[in-house]
Order: sequence, then C-alpha cells, then structure tokens
Amino acid sequence: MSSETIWKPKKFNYELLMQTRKPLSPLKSTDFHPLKPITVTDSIGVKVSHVASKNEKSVQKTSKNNEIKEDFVDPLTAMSIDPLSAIVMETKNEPKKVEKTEEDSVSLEYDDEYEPWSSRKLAILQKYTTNDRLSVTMTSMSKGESRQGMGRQNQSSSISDKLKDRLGQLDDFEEGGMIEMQNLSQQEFIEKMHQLNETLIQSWNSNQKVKALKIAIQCSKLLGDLSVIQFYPSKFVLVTDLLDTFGGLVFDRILSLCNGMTADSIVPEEVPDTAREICVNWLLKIASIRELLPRIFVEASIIHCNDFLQIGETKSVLNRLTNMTCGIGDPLIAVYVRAYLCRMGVRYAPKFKGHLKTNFYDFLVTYKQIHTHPVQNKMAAQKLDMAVYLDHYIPAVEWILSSLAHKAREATMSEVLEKCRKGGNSLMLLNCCISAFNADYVSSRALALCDLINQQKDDIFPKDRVFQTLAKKVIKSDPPEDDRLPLLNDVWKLLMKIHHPKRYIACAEAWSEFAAKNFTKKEVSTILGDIIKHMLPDRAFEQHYSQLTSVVSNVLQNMKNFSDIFSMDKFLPFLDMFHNETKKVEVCKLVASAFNSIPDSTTSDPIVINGLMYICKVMHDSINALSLDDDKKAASDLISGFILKVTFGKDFEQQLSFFVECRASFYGLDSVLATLVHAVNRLSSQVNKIVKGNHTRKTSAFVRACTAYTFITIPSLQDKQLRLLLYMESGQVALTSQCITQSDAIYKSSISLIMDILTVPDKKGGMSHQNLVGFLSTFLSSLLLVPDNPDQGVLYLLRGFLNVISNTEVNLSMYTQCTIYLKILSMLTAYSQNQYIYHITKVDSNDNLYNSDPKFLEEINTLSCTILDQVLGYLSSPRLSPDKQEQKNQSICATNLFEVIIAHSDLKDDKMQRLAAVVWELANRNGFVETKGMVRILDDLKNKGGEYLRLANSLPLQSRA
Amino acid sequence: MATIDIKLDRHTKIYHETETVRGVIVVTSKNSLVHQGISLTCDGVVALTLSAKNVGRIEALYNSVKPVYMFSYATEAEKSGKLPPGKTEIPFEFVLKSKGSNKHLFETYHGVYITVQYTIKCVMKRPLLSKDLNAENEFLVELKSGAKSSVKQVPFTINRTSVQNVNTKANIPRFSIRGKLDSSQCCILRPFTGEFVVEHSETAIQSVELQLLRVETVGSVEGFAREVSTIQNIEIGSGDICRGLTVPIYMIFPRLFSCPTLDTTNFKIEFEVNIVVVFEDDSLVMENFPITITRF
Repeated sequence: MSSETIWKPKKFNYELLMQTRKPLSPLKSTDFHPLKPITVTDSIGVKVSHVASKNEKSVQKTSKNNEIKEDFVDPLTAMSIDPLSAIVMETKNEPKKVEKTEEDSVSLEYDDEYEPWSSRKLAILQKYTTNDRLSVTMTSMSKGESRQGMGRQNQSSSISDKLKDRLGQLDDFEEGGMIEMQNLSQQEFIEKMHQLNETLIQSWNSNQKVKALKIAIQCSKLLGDLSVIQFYPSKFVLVTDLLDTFGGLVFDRILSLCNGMTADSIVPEEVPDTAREICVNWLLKIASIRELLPRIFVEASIIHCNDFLQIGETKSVLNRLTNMTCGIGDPLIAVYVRAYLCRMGVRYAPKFKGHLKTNFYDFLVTYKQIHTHPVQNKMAAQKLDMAVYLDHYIPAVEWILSSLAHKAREATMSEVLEKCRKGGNSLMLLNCCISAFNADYVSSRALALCDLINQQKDDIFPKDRVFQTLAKKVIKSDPPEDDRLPLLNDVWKLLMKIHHPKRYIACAEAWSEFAAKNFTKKEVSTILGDIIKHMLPDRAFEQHYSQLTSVVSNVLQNMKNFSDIFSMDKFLPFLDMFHNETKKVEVCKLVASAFNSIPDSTTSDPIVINGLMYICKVMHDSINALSLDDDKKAASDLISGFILKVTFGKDFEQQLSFFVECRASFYGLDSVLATLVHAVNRLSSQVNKIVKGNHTRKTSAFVRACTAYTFITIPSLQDKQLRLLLYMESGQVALTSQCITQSDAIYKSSISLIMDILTVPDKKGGMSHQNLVGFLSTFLSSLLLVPDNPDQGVLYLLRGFLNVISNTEVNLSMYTQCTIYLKILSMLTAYSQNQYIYHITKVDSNDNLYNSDPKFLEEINTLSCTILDQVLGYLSSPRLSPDKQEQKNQSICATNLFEVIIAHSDLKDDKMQRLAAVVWELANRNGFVETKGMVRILDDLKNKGGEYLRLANSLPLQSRA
Repeated sequence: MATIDIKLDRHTKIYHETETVRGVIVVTSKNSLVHQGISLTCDGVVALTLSAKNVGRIEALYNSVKPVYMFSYATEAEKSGKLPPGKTEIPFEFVLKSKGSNKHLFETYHGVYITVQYTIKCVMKRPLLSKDLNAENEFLVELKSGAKSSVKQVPFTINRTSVQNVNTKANIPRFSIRGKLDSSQCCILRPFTGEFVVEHSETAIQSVELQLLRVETVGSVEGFAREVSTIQNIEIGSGDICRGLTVPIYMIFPRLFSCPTLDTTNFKIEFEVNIVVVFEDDSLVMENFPITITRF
C-alpha cells in the first residue's frame, strides 16, 4: 500500500479566493441590551392623568384597560416601576409619619458618629485580660432550686407566706449557702458567666423569677470585687451583658401584659393594674437589696420599666441612681457604675442629658481618691503602678465622656476641659476628653491642648499617650493651617525626650501620619530620621517592627508622589532598620504594592527607579528554593508590575538597558523574566512600527539587540512550556523585525525544546493532547513564513520538527502523532502553493525563494507521501487493542484525514478520489462516527458539485447497526 | 382532684374601711362535686405575742395575750348540694366595717410580736371519706385617713463626741459625718430620704448602713413589753466614701412590714431608723432617729 500512496496538493489562488469570499457584513450595534433599563416612551401615566379629570368610574375603567394593554403591548413595561422602588414608594406612603418621627428622635440623639457600646465591648474584652486567678462567689443554685420547689408546692399559702418565703430565699442567698469558686482562669470565668446567662434565661422561662433575680444580684456583686484589677473592665462587660438580659426579660414580661403596647408607645395611664402591680413589685424587691452596688446595678438594669409607671420617671430614677453612686467608695468601681448608668440613660432616655454631666463631675470629685490609702493599698497588693491602674479607668471615662460629648456644643468641651484641668493628675482625663469629643473641636484647639498637656505636672499618666490620642483626632480633622507646624514642633520636642522606645514609637507612629498628611518631604524626612535615631540604640527596632511598618504605610498612604518619598534621604535608611528578613520583605512589598496601585502612572525618575529596584531586589532575594508558590507569585507580580511602570518614552536604548539591568537583578523569578521577554518583544515591535518596516542601520541593530536579549533570556527560565511560548513569540517578533538568522536560531532552539518537552515522562509537566496540538499548529503556521537557510537543506526546520515527532524516544501516542502529521500535511499543501497565503513585508518566504521550483515541489511531495503513509499505517492497523478509546481515536483520525483530503488535495485526480474513498471507509469502520455528521459531510460535498459530487456518489453511507 | 381558690376583684388586694370586698370562690373539678355546704369567713385580727425575753419562756408559750378582733364576717356561700364538673365561680361580697362603733380597723402589718392580718377563709365541707377543701387568702387594709407627713428636717452630726456608748469610745477613730434627714414624719408611700457628707475620717470607712427598726410594745397583765427588732438593713455607702461628696439617703418602706405608727391602749407599733457607720477595723458607730410613719 505504501508504494501506492501519493499526495496531490490542490493549488490555491489565495487572492482570487479572497475576492470571491463574501465579506462579513459588519455587525450592527443594536441599542438593545437585556440589562438596559427599559424606557417607556409611550407613557401610561400620562394617559391615566388625562382621564383622571373625569369621574372615578371611568378612571377605574381606563386603568383596567391600561393594565390589559400593558400586558398586551409589552410584558416588560410592567417593570417600569421595579418591585424594589415600588416597595420604597409604598413604605414611604404608609407609615411615613411614624417612621420619620422615630428616626428623627433617635438620629437627633445618637447617630453613627456615636460609637455604640457593642463595638467598644469587644475592644475592652480584648484589651483587659489577665493571667491571674479569678474567683466567683455564688450561692449553690441547687439549694435555691429545692427551696423554690417547696415554695411552689405550697400553693395555698397566703401572700405573706409567699413573701416571707421569697425574702427568706434572698436572705439565704445573702447570708448563707455561699460557695466560692476560686482559682478560675479567665476563660473559665467567661464560660461561667455565659453559663449563668443561660441559667438566668432558663430559670426565667421556667417561671423561677426569684432565681433569675438572684443570679442578677450575685453577678452584679461580682463587680464589687477588685481583686484582679486587670480584668475588671472585661468583667464589667460580661456582667452588664447579663444584666441587660435580665432587664430585657423583666421589661418584655411586663410589656406582654400591656395589651398591644409596643416598647415605644407606652402610655402609663393605660397600663393595666396587673402590669403595674408586677412592675411595682419588682422595684420594691430590688429596693430591698441590702448591698448598695447590686441595688444600683439591678435597678439600673430595669430602669426602662419605670416607663410603665409614669412619664419621665426614668429620668428621675436615673438622677437618683446617679446620686446614690456617690455612696460607692472605690473610685474605680464607682466610675464603672456611672458608665453603666450613662449607658442605660443613652439607651432608654436618649433625650435626657442631665445625668451625664452630673456623673462626670461627681467622678472628677472622686478621682482625687486615687491617692488615698485604700486605693494605694489595693494597687500595692496587686503590684500595679499608677499608670497601669489609671489605664483601667479609660473605658468607663471615655464612655461617659463620649455620651456627654455627642452632639455637644463646643462650650461643653471648654467647660469639661476646664474642670479636668483644675483637678490635677488630669492627663488621663485630658486623654479621654480628646478621644471623646468631636474631632473638629479638638483640632481647632489642638495647639492650646498641646500647651495644656505640656503644662501638666503629672508624672502618673504618660504624656505621650495623650499625644497619641490627640494625633488620631488631628489626623481625622485638619487643624487650622497656621497651627500645624507649631503643633508638630511642640509635640516632637516632647517626643524627642522620651527615651523609652516602646512609648516613643507608639506616639511617633501616630504623629508620623499627621506629618505625612500635612507636610512635605522635608519634615517627614526629619521625623523618619528622628525615629531612626531613637530606634537604633540597643537594637530597639527589633521589638517594634509592626509600629515601624505602620509608619512606612502611613507615609506611603499620605504621600502619593514617589519621587518625593524616595528623595527623602531618610526613607531608605529607615527601611534598612528592618533587619529581620521577613519583616523587611513585608515592608518592601508594602512599598511596591503602593507604587503599583497608583493608577495610570509611569515613571522615568532615576531616583524612584533606583529606590524601587533596591526594594524589588530585596523581595527577589528573599525567594529561595524553599519559598512557597504564593510568596513567589506575590513577589513576581509586584516586581513585574514595577517593571511595566517604568518607561523612558522614546529612549528605547535606555529602556532596553533597564531591562538588561532587571534581568541581572531578578534572574530567579520565572514570571518576571517572562515579563521582561514580553516587554522587550513589545519594545522591538514598537520600533518596527515606528520605522514602518524600513529599518535604518541603527534601528536594525537595536531590534537585533532585542532579539538577542530574548534569545539569551529565555533559556534561563525554569518552566519549559513558558519557554516554548516565549520562543514562539520571540521568533515571530524577530521575523517581523527582519532578523531572519536570529529567528532561525530561535526556531531551531524551540524545536530542540519541543524534543525536550516531549521526551519527559508524561506525568511530569507533559502537555495535554489538546494543548500540544493547538500549540504545534500555531508553531507550524509561523514556520510557513520562515525562509529556508541556504546553508541547510530544503525545509530543514520542518524536517527537524518531523524528526522530533517521529523520534522513538518521544512520548507521544500514535493518535497525537497522527493528528500532528495531519497538520503537517495541510502545512505542506500550503508550502506547495505558488504564492503563500501570508507574508511579512521585506521577508522573502520560500515561495519567492524557490519560485515553485519542481525540485522543491518534488521534495514536498515526497514528504507528504511519507507522512500520509504513516497516517494510513496507523489507520489501517488492525485492531491492536480491544481498547475502545483507541478505536474511537482511529475513527476520529480517519475523519480528520478525510477532511484534510477534501480541503487540501486535488480531487480531480482519480488516485486521490480512491484514497478519499478508502479513508471514508476507514472512518466508518468501527461505527464510532456519528452518522449525522457523515451525512452532513456528504451533503456538503454534493453541493460543491464537480469532482466532489463524483466522490460523494461513490461513497457508501453506513447506517449504524 | 378538686381545688378551691379565692380570688379578689382587686389585683392590689388593697381595701379601705367601709369599702366592699368582692370576689369569687373558684372551684375546679373534673367530675361533679358533692358537698355539704361552702362556708366563707373573714377575720381581721391583731395577734399579739409576748417576747420570751420579757416574760418567762413558758409563760410566753401559754400566756399569750388575747388577740384583738377588729372585724369578722361569716356566711354560707353555697348550701350543700352538687357542683357541676368544670370551673364554678361563686361570688361573694361583704362590707368592710369595724365591729365596734368606736373602733377603727388597723392597717395590715406583719411584725414579730404584733401582726395585723385580714384573711378570708373558705371551707367546703364534704361527705365522708373525702377531706374538706380549704382556701385562704389575705387582703390588705389601708387607712383612709390619718396623720399627715410633714417636712421636718433633722440635721445631724455624727462624730466621736456624739457617740453615746462611752465604753468603746477609745476604739473609735476620729471622724465626722454631717447630714440631715428630710423629715422624721414620713409618708409610707414615699421613700425615706436625706443626705450625708463624710467630712473627714482618720480610718477608712467600710460601709454606711441605714437600718429600719420596728418598736413593738405589747401590754399585758405584767405591764408593757417593748421589743426592738430590725426590719431591713440597707447599705447607703460602701467602701471608703469620698470625702466631701454628698451621698443620698434613700429607702423605700417595705410593704407589710411597715405601717403607719400605731398607738393603742394595749399595743404600740413604732419605728426608728439607725445610721450605722462601720470602719475598716470593724468598729462601728450608730446614730438612732425615732420616726413617725403616716399614711398621708
């Protein structure tokens, strides 16, 4: 059979073909888009309004008609009012008034600006922790339960008995039956509190109200225990959460008895007697709690129940409780009680502000107590120093002040400041004041505040913390233009004197942001220099990498101009402080990503480039064999991003030398190298485009240099597939730039690379059939352009490629091989044409080189026949394996061959007709081919007429058995 | 099982003299219930006890003073017969009026030696082999008229010299607490109020407490027995109270356990408050104030 095989390529006249081919009619851009809002030009609303002047009946009628019409004309017009806006309209119409008043009253009082308690809560829980052991003093609940059980059975007892019983239980819990749980860890304590919360709800639901009250009282009692001060604020949060639960339960129970009232619409006059009685009973019960602290807490927790009794009662109770708090001796406990009162006040009587001021001023009076013996003794016992102790006041004082400061007039702030100043030891207070009040107020008097802080002769609370707080406010709201520099100077004067590195850096971190935001590189550089000076001694920076990082990010965020950043002479030395490798890389990434995130920017500034080169080099050097893929990718992305942002405009030489430098620096990252190759190829193409193919000596030298660059760079990549892609791209670019010899070399290397790729075992980085075939087709198509090297034989590149494919070492299935052969067959047909289908200007392809020389054609023909022989060999091979897949592959291959024959061979020749018939039979042999497809092919052939019709008539159609 | 219960028409259960007490006896039973009559009685009694401290222990047991009946009422709510299954409500009502023409009803009060109590009892007599069913309910009586409270400020100063117990004076630290009670004649409905200021104290204060005391005097053959006991004890200051800060005194009179001050021929109910200052070293100082409680 092999001797018979011949291949007669069909001759194409591409130009003629192009003429006969119908041009695609240009796609009309339609206005229609499914997601476009539908505009109704014929407005129905107008119609309705027209008729609206008539009587009602007709309106209804027409509107009905309209509805029908709407549906009829276009169902989508119904959507002209989409459901969402319809809802909005509805809600607007109906409960408008209620909603508005509600919202107004609430928003007038406390809006977004007011940081709600819930968000502070978490911060407190995170900040105030302890490793010390805690203790909970509780009565054993089981005992209470059994008593409760007895009480329940005794139904017929008179109220006095019941009351005695209940009071007895209270006594019981107050005096006897205590079990103290000591040595709880913090976590255990928190769990215990959650458990108690659960128990509280459970006992409430199971109608054991007294037990619920007991739990509430006991928990609030825990707040009288200052044995572990570090945990106290967190304990406060936990306990008040529980009290909130309790208060909610009591309130809801009473509310449920007030037929139909909602929490916002309680009318005391209409509260039924039963509800009132229960309410009064609760209040009486709480009033009889012996100890002051739980009495205040529990009464405060149900303060909103006073709404049932009388309008404004809540306010007067709030005032009374505020006054009662004066009876609590310990200033720390007292201030937390006040914070709780303020919280309840804010929540349940938002319009009432009187108690807030009273609370704060009373607190100021008690604040002096921090120097008394009892307080000092407690601190000494727990080995706390004054600053740490005062730290625990902050959450409460901040809360009180922020409640007071919300929407307050500026005068209030002056008043509060004045009071704080008089008190002495007022830095903590100033700190809270600054953080509580509106940033605008603070900023406008920042300079004065700064003076005030400096004047304080308070050695307890660190000044730098106050400055830190001040920084946050002046960053949020800019102080007056003239104040800024003196402010920074004043603050920095003090900062420079702080020798404690931790305190220094915390404050410097905050103020560096202020400086970066408001000042130029000169000031920022000075500040960075100062930070370096403070951080270098004793390698203090090692402890404060996170703060240093945030200084860098502050600078980056606020100074958008990178030439400013890098021209600060202290910026790179600052980065040098990061001795820890990972931290340094982190910072570098920060800088690089900040640079890359500036949209639409390119740079040619040598300072910026130098700086970023340094930074990218650090990132690059951090990558080693052990690095994770993600790290590699992140670094490569950042570096590539930077490379692409550097442009020197028309100075192509410099651009190329920059790329050379980059290659030298970033040799280790594949994707960076790939980026470089792409960039250089682009550069070359740009030049080519500018000269429009007419290279001067200079430009042709340049594009050759580019090609050389890529040719040298590509082999250093690790990823072979990537290398192959780049080779192909570079080869094409080289060819378009008329660097024929270079492209020759590139193609040669790529063929040997293909060999390389194909010989590796399949599993390891092998290409899939689809990818390989797709890629190789592209490769072949570009080969068409490459003229033969006169020193080598005819079509030596293609031969080389064929050798690779047919090499026995190559790890290819017969099927893949044959698929590739078919491609080559088509390719050879293209080679044999008088005029090739495409050309590159100024590059003579083989058609011009050989001018359809018979020898050349003969050569092609021999090749074609060999290939065809190979393919037919595969197709006609008997069923080697019972493998169905293999058989199917054979059929597919045969079909493909048939198509190639139809498309590329000269069917006028009888031999070709015969060949086609044989292949057709082979394709149908195993019954794997869809009959439908075959029918379509036949129909197509018949339509073409001539020799095709002849062929079609000779082909049998095998129906599937 | 059948149950019986008494329900009053007022949730507060508070009634005044000459008013009508209304209510229902609620009988619930699954089956029809045969009974031999349901009787309802109501008594208003002042129960007096002698303290074992004043008379001998045995005498206290036997020789208790005769109770004083202020009011009693009895009726047969239902004649013997049969009640249908389910819930049956038998209404009743009676006028609350003292027995003697000159006597008044006293306010409900639960004390240690004296108790003024108004109870409604209901007994359903049942045939053989079944227990009688009982129900009992107490209602509260408040005066309709009486002495009025007045604003009589009582300023006070507690310090080393004001302490009366001379023996322990040596242990008492130097201190001074100044303050006032808003009134010594207080309305039972309104809280007991006042304020105090710790001016100075050389020892840290542990707590300041407010005690409400009852003074019950029972007359008997052997003369009057006067007993003082604590009703409630409330902390008004805890910890070392800040000097110079005004601390409020605030206490609500408990229900049942307090009533308007009462002075009759054979018994007296009076009230006092104590302000107790406890120091860190556990020494304590007490100042006593007799007060009059009024209804209005």
